[in-house]
Amino acid sequence: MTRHIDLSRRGFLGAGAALAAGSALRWSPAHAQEAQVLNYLSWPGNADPYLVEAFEKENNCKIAIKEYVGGDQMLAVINQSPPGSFDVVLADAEYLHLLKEADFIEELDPADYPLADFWPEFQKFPLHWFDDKLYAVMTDFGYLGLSYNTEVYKPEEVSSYAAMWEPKATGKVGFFDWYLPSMGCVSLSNGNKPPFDIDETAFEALKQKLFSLKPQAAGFYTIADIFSSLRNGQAHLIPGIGEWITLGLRLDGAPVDTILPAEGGIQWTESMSIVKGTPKADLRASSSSTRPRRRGRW
Amino acid sequence: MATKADNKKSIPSIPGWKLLAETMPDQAEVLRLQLDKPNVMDDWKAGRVNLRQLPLQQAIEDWNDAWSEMKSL
Repeated sequence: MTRHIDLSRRGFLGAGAALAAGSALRWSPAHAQEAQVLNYLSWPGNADPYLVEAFEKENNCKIAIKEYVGGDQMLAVINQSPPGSFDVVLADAEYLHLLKEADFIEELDPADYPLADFWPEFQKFPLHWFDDKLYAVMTDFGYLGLSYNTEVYKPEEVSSYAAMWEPKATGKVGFFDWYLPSMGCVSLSNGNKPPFDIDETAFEALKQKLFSLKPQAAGFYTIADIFSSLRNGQAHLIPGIGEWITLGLRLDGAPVDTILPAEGGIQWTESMSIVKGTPKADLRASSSSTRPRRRGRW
Repeated sequence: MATKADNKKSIPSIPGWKLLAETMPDQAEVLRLQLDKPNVMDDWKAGRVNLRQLPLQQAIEDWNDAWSEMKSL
């Protein structure tokens, strides 16, 4: 029996499935009108049949993905696309308030999602709620700290972000070329908690601290470059990344690890929302048949 | 989601953790998603984790400009 596409949309969020389309469909504006195509705006890496194949089969639909890199690019894609281009969006949680302000995402009914199954810390995740209304569901998260080469550093040597300023690190500190996580770690190293809510005095101090790191820099990297720089030893330390990179490398034999230094770490959070203005049919269809199956999915 | 080979992640669902432990215990261990062992939530509970947010008291451009200035030094 063919399921309604909107059931798929909600089921998609509830399952926390990450979508994508590696071999799956690439997004194009033409798909917006296709009833059995779920148009999905997401970070790369979520376009993997490993993640979506079962969902597509269960719901007799195809997922068409439009990939973006970084929240700024996501916002640009949204602003340049006509209403109805996308059905669901996977966004970094810190961008959700902008999506809400732009009236791009729908309010969600908390009863549709197994939030009570979440760790208590995440059941009412502050970046998902506006005026006590839910607009996104967390799919996954991880921590950012200081990643390091384990053949060069012992854990106790990188227990503070101060390791980046040591002579040993000169020319060996790599940076993810995105201001937010990189400067967030430098802000933590300057004693700012929370690291992104700082006054002008603290911001000026952060800038000076940041500038003082330049002599230590090995390079400013894309995600792909981060992997290679850790593998080939070009970088021995990289702030603002985490196990989302180093765990896979380590399991593959690379001598790398990530630590949350004494000054603290930063949580990234990926969250899924339903996009407003899609031409797909109503969202009122009962999700009762899918909800139990959503529970426990990872 | 958690076990994707090239991008391993933590998940917020406790039943998800239990299911992972039952069906892919090796993955649950490397991901530190084990309910009965030290796990990723310990860092949260210890207050060592801050949420990533956009700058709250400055414009995004101010932070971006500082980043660009650092790179160009």
